[in-house]
Amino acid sequence: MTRENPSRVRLRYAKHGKVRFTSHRDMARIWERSIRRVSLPVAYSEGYNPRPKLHFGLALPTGFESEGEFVDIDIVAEVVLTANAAEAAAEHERLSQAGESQQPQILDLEVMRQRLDEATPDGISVEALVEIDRKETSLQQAVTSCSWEFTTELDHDALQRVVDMTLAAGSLLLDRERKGKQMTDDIRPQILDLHVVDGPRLRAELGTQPRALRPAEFLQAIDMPSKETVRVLRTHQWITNNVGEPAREPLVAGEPATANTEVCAV
Amino acid sequence: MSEILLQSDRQRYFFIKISGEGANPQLSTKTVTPTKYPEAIMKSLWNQIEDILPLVEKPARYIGCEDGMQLPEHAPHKVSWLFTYPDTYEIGLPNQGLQILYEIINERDDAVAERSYAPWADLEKLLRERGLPLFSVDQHMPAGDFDLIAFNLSAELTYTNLLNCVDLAGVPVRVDQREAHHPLIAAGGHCTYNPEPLSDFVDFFVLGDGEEVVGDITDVVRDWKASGRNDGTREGVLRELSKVAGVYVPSMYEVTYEGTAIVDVSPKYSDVPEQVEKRTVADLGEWPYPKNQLVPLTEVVHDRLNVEVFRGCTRGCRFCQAGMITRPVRERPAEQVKSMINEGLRRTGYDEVSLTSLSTADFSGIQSVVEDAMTTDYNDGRVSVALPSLRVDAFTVGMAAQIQNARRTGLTFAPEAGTWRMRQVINKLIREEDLYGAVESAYSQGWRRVKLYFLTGLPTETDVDTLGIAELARNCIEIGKKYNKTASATVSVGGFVPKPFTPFQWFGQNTEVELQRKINLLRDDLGRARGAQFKWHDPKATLVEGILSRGDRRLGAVIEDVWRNGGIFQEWSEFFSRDLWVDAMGRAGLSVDFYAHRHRHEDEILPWEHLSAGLHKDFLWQDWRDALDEVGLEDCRWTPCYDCGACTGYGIEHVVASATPPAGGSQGTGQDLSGGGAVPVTLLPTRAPVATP
Repeated sequence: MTRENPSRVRLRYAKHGKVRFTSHRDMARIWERSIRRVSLPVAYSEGYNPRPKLHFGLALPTGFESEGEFVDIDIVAEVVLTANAAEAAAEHERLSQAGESQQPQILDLEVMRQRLDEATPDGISVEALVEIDRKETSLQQAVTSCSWEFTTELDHDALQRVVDMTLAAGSLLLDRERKGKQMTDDIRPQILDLHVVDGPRLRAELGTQPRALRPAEFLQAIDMPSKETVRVLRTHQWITNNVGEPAREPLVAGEPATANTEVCAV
Repeated sequence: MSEILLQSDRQRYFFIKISGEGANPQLSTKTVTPTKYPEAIMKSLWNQIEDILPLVEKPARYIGCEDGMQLPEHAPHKVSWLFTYPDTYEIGLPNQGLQILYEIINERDDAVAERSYAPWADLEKLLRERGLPLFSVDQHMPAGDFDLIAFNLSAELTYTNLLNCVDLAGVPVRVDQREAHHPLIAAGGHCTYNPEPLSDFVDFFVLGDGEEVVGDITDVVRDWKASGRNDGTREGVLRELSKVAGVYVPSMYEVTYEGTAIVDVSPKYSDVPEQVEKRTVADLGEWPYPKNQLVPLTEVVHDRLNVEVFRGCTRGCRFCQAGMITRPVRERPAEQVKSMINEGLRRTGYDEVSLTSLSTADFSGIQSVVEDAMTTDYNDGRVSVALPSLRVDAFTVGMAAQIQNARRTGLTFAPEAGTWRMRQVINKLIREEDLYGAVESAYSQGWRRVKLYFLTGLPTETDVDTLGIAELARNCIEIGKKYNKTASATVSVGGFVPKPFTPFQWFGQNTEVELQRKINLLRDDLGRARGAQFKWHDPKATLVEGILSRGDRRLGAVIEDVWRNGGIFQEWSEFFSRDLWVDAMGRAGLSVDFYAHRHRHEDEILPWEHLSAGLHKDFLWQDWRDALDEVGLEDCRWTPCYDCGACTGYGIEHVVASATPPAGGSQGTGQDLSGGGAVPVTLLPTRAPVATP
């Protein structure tokens, strides 16, 4: 039985090296072209100028690297998704035995993940591709915080002093613009975690709701050196589980591509 | 007390994490074996460049990483080319000429090619502050370490950027200050048909198609390197290069003046040719390039698949340098066009393909190519086929309607002049009813806006002709209103710049004041028309283009002066300065009037007299007289030969894919093409012999 509605897949990718200097907009075009190159049966919007239905997560600032970037992609209704080759074969068998007159296209997500990985530029690696429920909250809304790693020229002790001072502060005021107006915000509550790891590097978890604390704003607020000497890596995007118990985990459906899969769904 | 919530305190999903170590796959840059020459080992500058990229606008312009990019391995015996576009990456990357040569050179065993573009002012400042040079975007190699830096010159206003790039590469800007270890500075492209203003700065120029000559040059430079490239041998290699057909080495020629006039241009040595002929590739089918069109990661102009369907144009528009200097017509075989489209769409993932040429609707295989493109496996109903330079006729619009998948944003037509008399002068023989038919066809098939391109400042132009532009535009909008209340027309007007190797090369350009007066006249007249948008090219920029377009070697001082005073990116309104140029002319003791506004005499020795685009000078002069007599000249592809020289001079012919003339007549002129004539036309796939002048 073919489904009435399009299905949705969630793709996780990493962005490293030279390609980190592409912008969020550039990445949107790169995904559109890559999807065409592998003939992924993506659903298109209706109307005057149909576009492929891609849903992007929180923008990664130009110049930053990431191990946890996400895109949701709508797949046309006629396609059956499976997570591995064996399942694909079984599904074929089942459909032919059921005597379905119109065989739907079967899409093996692991095969597609590999093909997308090859079709994307060097420095972009497609880590996982899984089916998700279309009713799930959008990436933009679901994510409540991101983990960042900052590589600086400061040594371990200097970084530890920055951490201690920041954590001890009752409030951290930052002047920033919002919808054209100058605001002064206390960003301290948005710093959810801060510690030094080997490297030495600074690890921080910064809140994204209701308004994201951007890494550049965070660096400014804690008086870190200019962006030129700081290298930034997004390691994770987190969601808050309001129910209190873990729900199903989308990105490890089938065999995960690597072990470092992480949060991102409700 | 810290308000920080520790990670474990928060409710969230945890998954296995691994640390970031080893997860940073840097793109490796190949190491180069140390060589005797150049003394500096070519070494990637990426580590220094990546430190400053976070500080500049649009850093993705400087990273390369395009699909189709090549990472050639440098070696001492290999000739290294740096193909450079003297404007931003966004403008330069799509340039097909550079992409073609980049591939051809990298296919050779004895040569490598990388690419470079003018860095924007913010990056240039940082590079200079830190003592970093211009670099290639492929492997971030220093520009000064290449054997050749070869520029594409498509516009006069990029000339100062050429100087800036050479300087930023660490190379002396003047030819006579360079030594054997410096790269050879070369240039090709349409502006090199009058390269004289850049003679002080460019070691050699290439005239015409580059596919073959780039290999000939490589051979000469390879032998020079093998011989040791010793001090004092730079002039020797340039003299060798001057013997390569299509290569012009300005330092091998002496120009003699009497007062302001040029009285003689002669080679300094007997083995240097008296006249340099352009190179012409006889069969485009032998050169299916680019095979791997570069797909940039960031947005550029013409961001789509481009397939060149033919080179040359025989329509004979008298203002159009491209049409004159690229003759004869050489079509790509239709089957090859189809496979380049199919393969290109599959490889790149683009959803738009543009069939490029000077007049694509005149491609004799157009219908079969378009039908194929619309039904190919890779066209899932989302692929659009773009036809730039649309012919002005209803037939073409009908085809455009078929092939533009639901993207009817705007259609562009170029009637070029406002009255039939004026169009006879410039030989753009479009009748008013042709235009109205095309426009009606467009509006009735769903387009809401048409763009109309015009020139002003044409020979014999009166205010009647200028205001005729407004009249045409109003009538077009009127037609549009029948189909759509919001129908509109964009009217773009450019000031006419006479170009070398055209019948108008003798015409004195309108002054800045006169052009501005005509534009104001039009603006005021069109201002009353609802639905008309008026755009115009700045007459100040037109003036500078006019000075350079037909200038001579004495302008070298002016170009250098403007550059030294910060005049870079003159194509960009935020940087352009008319005063920099006019002041520099004054300091050099040169007259703007002499270079831009003066009519030339028949017997005057023009600065490009010793160069040849294949066109007989007496043909051009006769065409100039015909223009003044308001006599048009039909497309020679379908009517008897006028002996312009482009075919006969090279022993080649117009090469067309089909013997059937295009429906609707050439350029939509409706002329009767059934008779044919004594036209030298070769039908593909017969190979025409290549002439070796």
